[in-house]
Amino acid sequence: MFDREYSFRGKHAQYVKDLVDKDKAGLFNRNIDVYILAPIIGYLYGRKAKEDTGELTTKIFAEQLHKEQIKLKFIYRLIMLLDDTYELTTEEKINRAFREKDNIENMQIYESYVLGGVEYLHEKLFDGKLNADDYLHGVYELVDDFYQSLSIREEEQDIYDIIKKYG
Amino acid sequence: MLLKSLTLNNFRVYKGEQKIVFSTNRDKNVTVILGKNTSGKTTLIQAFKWVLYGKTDFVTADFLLNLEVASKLLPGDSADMKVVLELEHNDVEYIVTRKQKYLCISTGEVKPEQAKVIIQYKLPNGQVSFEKNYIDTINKILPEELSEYFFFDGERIGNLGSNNRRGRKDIANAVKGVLGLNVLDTTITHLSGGDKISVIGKLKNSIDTQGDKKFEQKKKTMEQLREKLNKATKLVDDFEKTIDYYSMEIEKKEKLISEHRDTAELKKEMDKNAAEISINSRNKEKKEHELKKVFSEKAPMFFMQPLLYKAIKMIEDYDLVDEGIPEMHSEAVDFLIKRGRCICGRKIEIGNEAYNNLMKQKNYLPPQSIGTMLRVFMTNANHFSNMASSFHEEFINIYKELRTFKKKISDLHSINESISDKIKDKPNIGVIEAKVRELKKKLNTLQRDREEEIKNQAIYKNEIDKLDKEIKVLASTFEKNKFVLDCIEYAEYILDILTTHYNAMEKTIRKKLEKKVNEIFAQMYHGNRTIKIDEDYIYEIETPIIDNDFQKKADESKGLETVTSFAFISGIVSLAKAKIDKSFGNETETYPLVMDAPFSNADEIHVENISKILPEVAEQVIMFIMHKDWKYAEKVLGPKLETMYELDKQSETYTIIRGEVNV
Repeated sequence: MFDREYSFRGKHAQYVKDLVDKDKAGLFNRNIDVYILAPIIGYLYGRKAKEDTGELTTKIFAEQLHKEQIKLKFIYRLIMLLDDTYELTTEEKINRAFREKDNIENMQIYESYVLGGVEYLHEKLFDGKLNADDYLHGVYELVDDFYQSLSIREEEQDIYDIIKKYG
Repeated sequence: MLLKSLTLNNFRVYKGEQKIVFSTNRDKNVTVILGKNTSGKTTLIQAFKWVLYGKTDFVTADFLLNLEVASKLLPGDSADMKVVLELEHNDVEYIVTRKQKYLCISTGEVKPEQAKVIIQYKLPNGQVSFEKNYIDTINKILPEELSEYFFFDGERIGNLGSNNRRGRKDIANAVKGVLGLNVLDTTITHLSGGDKISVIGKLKNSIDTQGDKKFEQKKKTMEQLREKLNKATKLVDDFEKTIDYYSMEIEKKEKLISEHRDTAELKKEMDKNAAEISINSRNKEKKEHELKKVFSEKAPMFFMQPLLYKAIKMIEDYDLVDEGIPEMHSEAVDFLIKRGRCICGRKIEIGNEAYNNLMKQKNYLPPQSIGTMLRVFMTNANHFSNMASSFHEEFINIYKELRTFKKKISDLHSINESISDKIKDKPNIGVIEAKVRELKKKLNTLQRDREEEIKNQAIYKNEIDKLDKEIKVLASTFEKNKFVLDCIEYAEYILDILTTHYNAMEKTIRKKLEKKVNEIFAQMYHGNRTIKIDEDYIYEIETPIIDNDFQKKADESKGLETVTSFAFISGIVSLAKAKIDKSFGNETETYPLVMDAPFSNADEIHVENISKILPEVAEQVIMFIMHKDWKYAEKVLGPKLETMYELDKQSETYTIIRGEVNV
């Protein structure tokens, strides 16, 4: 898992380039930064997408993926715990997250969130923006809107208590 | 002399016959001819010169025919060019006509014939007669050498006030001209001017050395010294010319700078703003990088929080607290299932209670036990959660700073845009100031070089005097030289008398000029200042009570310079008038003052001041001026104005004098 080179294809490759390239929005330093954030955004905003078959590709090298393994696996497990594509029981979700390794079907679900997230980010951060100031303002809005909607703040303490139990 | 009219026919840009009638009214004695640059104002001054004395200052002085007329001539054709000046002198009306025929020869080239001049005069009884000796007649009306003190072009007016070399020469010549000492001057030059051609020079050269080597050596040294002195003198002259040129350039540029001081201030502000924009832009760029970095690194953890909460809750609710049996492996459970009987003896079958309990137990046993994995998962959750907690505040702060820089930049840009609107089409003062600094540096060097050469001059002169005496002593030892030495002594004695006399007279006239200049100056300039002219015709404006350091500062006003130049013009006009009166006994005769672009260097206030004085200096004032200057002069000169013309430039080769406007 996350040990082989990954490529965005077709429109998603274009979207990632739009978000990363210095002469475009240049909001992310690397493709992998998009790849890390996108599944979270995809799940958060309920966006999944199928891989596009267009010719354009943009890569993430295996070495980069390897370096970010901890983060990537953590996010993957989160998605596996939460995704409701197949109406699984909690136990099954936990099994999927922690016991089933290199399951192609699971990986497809994960990547559909990645691509959905890329589409959402592209809509919010690139479409209709004209210049560097617009791009940055897009980021600001994305962050601030999310912050305003965040209800977790009151419940933070709960989570910390739980985490501590395992820690 | 009063000028009544000037008629031009094919003279330069004045194609066909065109006439200007001047105001001769005693109360309204001003005639104004308005014209833009290069419309032919200077040509009018030259027309006076040509009709009276047959001379002009044009580069093409020998071809004055209108070029449009000239270009239409075919071989064998001819065209007439003519200037007619009507004037009144001693109650006699004169008509001076100078004409020149231009002939197109077989090659198509147009060549002028000798110009012809005719002077007619009307006697009081109305009879018209021809004056045969025109040179004498004209010189009695207005001697050529004095004429230039009644006709002034703009550049000369500027020079007179700026203490420069040409101005000084002009004043010196005026004094000399008025002295009428040209004969004396010629005599002095004949006696001592030049080592080879003057009387004294030739005499000294003829001293016989009688083959005495030491004597010969001294004569040779003398020759070398004289050559050195001549070289030094020429150098000083060259330096002065260059110094004058640089001074004028500096003056022009400083005038421009002072006129556009506001522009310069605005430009400075603009440059300062531009520098600030660049600093703020760099800072903004830095913040952009920071923002992107923080976003790239921490946004996943930030957005992950609700997911994390949900997942952790889910794990907690499922109660996956590790219930594993110590030291037991799931292989043990597999063994029991395979055996079909538990260690307690109960039967194990797929689907029965024992089986299900055992399968559940497997979850808590290695390798199926996820206790370790969960611990790792929770540790990561804790770490990511911590990262997320600082993200929002950090991100918002950077974004706010970014906005502050952005606003500063945009404010400065809009300030600079409005400044830019204000100063567009204005000269770049910074560049001009830099040029002035450079010129001043050059000027300093030149002045030092000139001083050096003046010192050399003095050294050579001293050595020459010393050697001269030695040569005389040596020469006197030879009988043969006695006569020559006597001659030298006589010549030097005469020279001394003539020079003393000349200097005394010059001083008197100079004082007279100074007095007159101060009279006029006092009328134009309200203050306690006086003008002093030294023997080199360098003038100084003295302010009483103020000590020397401040004197210089007080003199810096440019307007003062214009006033001064007009005081000089007035002074010179009055000297010239006095001279003609004395020579011809016409003490009540009136004189015109003709000026080209008199106000081009003056500001509004001084145009008014000068305008007040001019009609009082001369009985008749004829001015060629630009529209912008007339705007200010009109307030004062308006009531004195009788006729006004406008030069309407049709092309580079054709100007129409637009009809007489009665005011």
